[in-house]
Amino acid sequence: MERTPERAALFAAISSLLLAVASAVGRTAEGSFLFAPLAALHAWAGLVALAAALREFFARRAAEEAVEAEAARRESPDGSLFARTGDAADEPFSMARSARLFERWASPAVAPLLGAGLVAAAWLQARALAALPPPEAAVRTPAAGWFGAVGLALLVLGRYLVVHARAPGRGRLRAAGTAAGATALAALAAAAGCLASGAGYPAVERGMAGGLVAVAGLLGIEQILNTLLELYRPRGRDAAPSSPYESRIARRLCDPSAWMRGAAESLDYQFGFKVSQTWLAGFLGRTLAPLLLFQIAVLYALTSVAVLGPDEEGILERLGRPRAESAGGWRLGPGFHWKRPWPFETVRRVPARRLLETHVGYEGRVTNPDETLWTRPHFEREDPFLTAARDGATSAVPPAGEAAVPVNLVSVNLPVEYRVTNLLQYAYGHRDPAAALRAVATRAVTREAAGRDLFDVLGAGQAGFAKAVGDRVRDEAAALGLGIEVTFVGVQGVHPPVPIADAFESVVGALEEKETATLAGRAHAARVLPAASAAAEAVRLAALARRDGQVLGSRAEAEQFLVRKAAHDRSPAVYRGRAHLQTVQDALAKPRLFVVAAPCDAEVLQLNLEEKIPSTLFDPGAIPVAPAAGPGAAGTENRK
Amino acid sequence: MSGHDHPHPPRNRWMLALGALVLALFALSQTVVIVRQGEAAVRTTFGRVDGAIAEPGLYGRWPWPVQKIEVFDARTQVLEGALEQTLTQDGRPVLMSLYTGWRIADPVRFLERVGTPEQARRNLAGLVGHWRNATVGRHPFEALVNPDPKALKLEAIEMAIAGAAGPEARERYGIEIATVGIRSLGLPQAITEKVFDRMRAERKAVAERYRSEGESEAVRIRAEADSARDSKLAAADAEARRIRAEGDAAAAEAYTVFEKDPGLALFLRKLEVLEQTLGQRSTVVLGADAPPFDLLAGASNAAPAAAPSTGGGK
Repeated sequence: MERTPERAALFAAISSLLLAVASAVGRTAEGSFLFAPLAALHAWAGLVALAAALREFFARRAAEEAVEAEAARRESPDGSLFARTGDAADEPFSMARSARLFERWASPAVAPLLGAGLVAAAWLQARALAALPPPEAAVRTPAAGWFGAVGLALLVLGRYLVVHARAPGRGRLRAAGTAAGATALAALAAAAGCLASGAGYPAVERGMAGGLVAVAGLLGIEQILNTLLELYRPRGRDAAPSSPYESRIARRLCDPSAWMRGAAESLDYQFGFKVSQTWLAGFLGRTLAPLLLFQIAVLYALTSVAVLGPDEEGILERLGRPRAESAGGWRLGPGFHWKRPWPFETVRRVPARRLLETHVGYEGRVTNPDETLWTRPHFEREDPFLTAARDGATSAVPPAGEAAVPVNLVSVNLPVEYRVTNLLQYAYGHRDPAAALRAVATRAVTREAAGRDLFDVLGAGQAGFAKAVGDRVRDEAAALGLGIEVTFVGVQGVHPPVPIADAFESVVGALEEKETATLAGRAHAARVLPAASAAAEAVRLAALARRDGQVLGSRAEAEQFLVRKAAHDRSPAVYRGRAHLQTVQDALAKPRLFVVAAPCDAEVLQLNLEEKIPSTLFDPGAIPVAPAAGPGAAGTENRK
Repeated sequence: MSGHDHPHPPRNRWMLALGALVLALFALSQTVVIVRQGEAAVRTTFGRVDGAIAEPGLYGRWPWPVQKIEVFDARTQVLEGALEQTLTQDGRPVLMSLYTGWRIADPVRFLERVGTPEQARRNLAGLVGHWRNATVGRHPFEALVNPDPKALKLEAIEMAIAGAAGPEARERYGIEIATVGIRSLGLPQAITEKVFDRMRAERKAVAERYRSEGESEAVRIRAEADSARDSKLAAADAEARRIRAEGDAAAAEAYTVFEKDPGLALFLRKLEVLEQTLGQRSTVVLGADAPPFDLLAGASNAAPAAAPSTGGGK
């Protein structure tokens, strides 16, 4: 019987146990928690492989012993002192007996021990993981390389064992192969976690560690369940020995052929014919590995190409340093460039042609893009700045030495635009030039706001404030050697903090109220004064008219008098009498007239000259009216 | 039983090639390190420091665990501190946040004393925080916020912190502090609320002042308008009186002609009054001896010279 698979299993056992020790050491050396679950999984895979190797060893030696016994019997067919009388497995000190005892007692004990160990390790690691501080991004290139190399090596080893386990009588090796394969996948996942941490996603590494701890616990529980199921499994004397420590989960994880078979069966079921038996399926199956290698080669060849976008420029590094001018220079513009493959030459991309932007005074997104009001937060978070406050009554600077300097708070939203002007300074001067610029700009706003009155920042001095901040940002950026040019510093918003914005708006409202009251007074004046002017003019004009009438009337009256006097002088008595009677006639034409006959006043002559006279003059309703002939008739009545 | 009794599993040369490639890459990663521009590295052999690698380039090493090359980012990094409370010289609490630009100046010392950038940030935060408290405590509050820019001491505080923390950082951590800046100033939450209350009250006073000014202005304008109206009317009344007086004077001048026969003038005037006062709705009660009604009483024709007696009422 070939011993290579047995030795491979032994190699897997020893290497896995050594890897477990190395991982335990690596946990301390590298600082990544991923080493802890990998150590447990390596140990589990090593013990599984050791059990498989021992079973393979006993089986091989038992088979060889049987062959030797058969040869001896052929050489002395008549019997001898050492002739076998019963079953070889019952002979003491025989390898067959040892194999049977191992299969009966040792092999079933492996699974519960491994299960308990895995569950305990997962429990302890889960508690340790929960107690860790929040993860921080860290470059773990050595750890990622270690995990990747270990994973790929174990993947090859596990695949080798699984393939050999398909041979008749080699089924014991399958547990070792699947355990090595599952551990290989765990190592590759750990490598991905380390790379993610280096790329700035430490949570991925932490999550990967938690996932591996969970996988270890799951495998442990499965081992214990396998042991319980093994107790109730019906077995006959000739039944093949089972492997309760073989994980079905691991087998599913690391045996792609199982997935392929499942997929092929599904396709066959869906299409109604043996799709997996077609030429195309066979071709794909045969060429999968070469295609994989070809793809890897193509991917590696692509590292000889650099394509820079229209907003980018690149620094070509040869073995870590910018390529010398004698070798073609380091600056790469937008477009397609050939270079030596990684890791000999790499390109550091810089957005040198794009206007970059940072901001001060706020964080997060715009809360309401449709309207920007003082009384509502403009952004998810706004940081107010301290400003000085002059004495509101005198606008004077507080006297020196005064302890209580009144302060105000103001919110400032300051966008800062810049562009890269010096690639080498930008790339190699600061790890995060944008963060440095943001810090510088925030300092500038803090400094300028602290030396100004609130209303110098809010009001007419806003332009001066923005200019001072911009000058300070440019000077600081140049002094730090950020390799940038600040192209714009604007005050997008300056306003009182949101909690007191309504008080500031109420002042504006009060100004409106003041203006409203003033305008109401002016409206009253506008209404009253013209009316007064008109009334005065009316009075004056009335007086003028009266005067003119008086003058003309008096003159006319004088002239009339003179004419009448001349007439009177010719016949005074006649003139007076006629004038008197004419006047009486005219005057009494309309009124009601009562003539009292003198001296007897009991007799009253009633002359109805116009209309029916009321019943009585002095006692209405008491004296009956004297009968009259009709309208206009005269009558008399007696009075008591 | 021989090993040749069973067929060999299919040997996949492609898989072997893949495995060989992986192993080669692993071997390469364990023996070669590229230090990039902007990085600093330290080579150790079995944990003992061999020396720093200052220049970028390709460096070989024995595989782990024999040799190890620790690579650090040597570019300037910005440590943005949190808002922390401290006291000024006059005992006023103030929140201050500093940013610190730092870089690894001595990689060997950095590796020995600090080890990782995370730990460096923690150490720097403690060091800078210590000198911040010590420096701010020597300045009054008005040196931090003051409407007179000349009275501010922010730059002096920053320089003092950098000057004090820089040598210590280099000596203890192998770190050079490139710059220290006061990123932001603030007040504790309780005081901030009080500041808001004061600002609110101040704005309220200003608003009330504006409202009062508006009301007083309106009253003044109304009063001025009313006064102007009354003045105009009074002036117009005076003018009217003067004009009427002129009319009276002119009439009096014309009435001098009545002096030629006052009796006749009075008689005519009486007749006018009599005619004008007796309207349509008047009621006149006369004696029967009043002409011409004396005719009703059978009297002879009255002498026209007799003065008529009139009476009436309404």
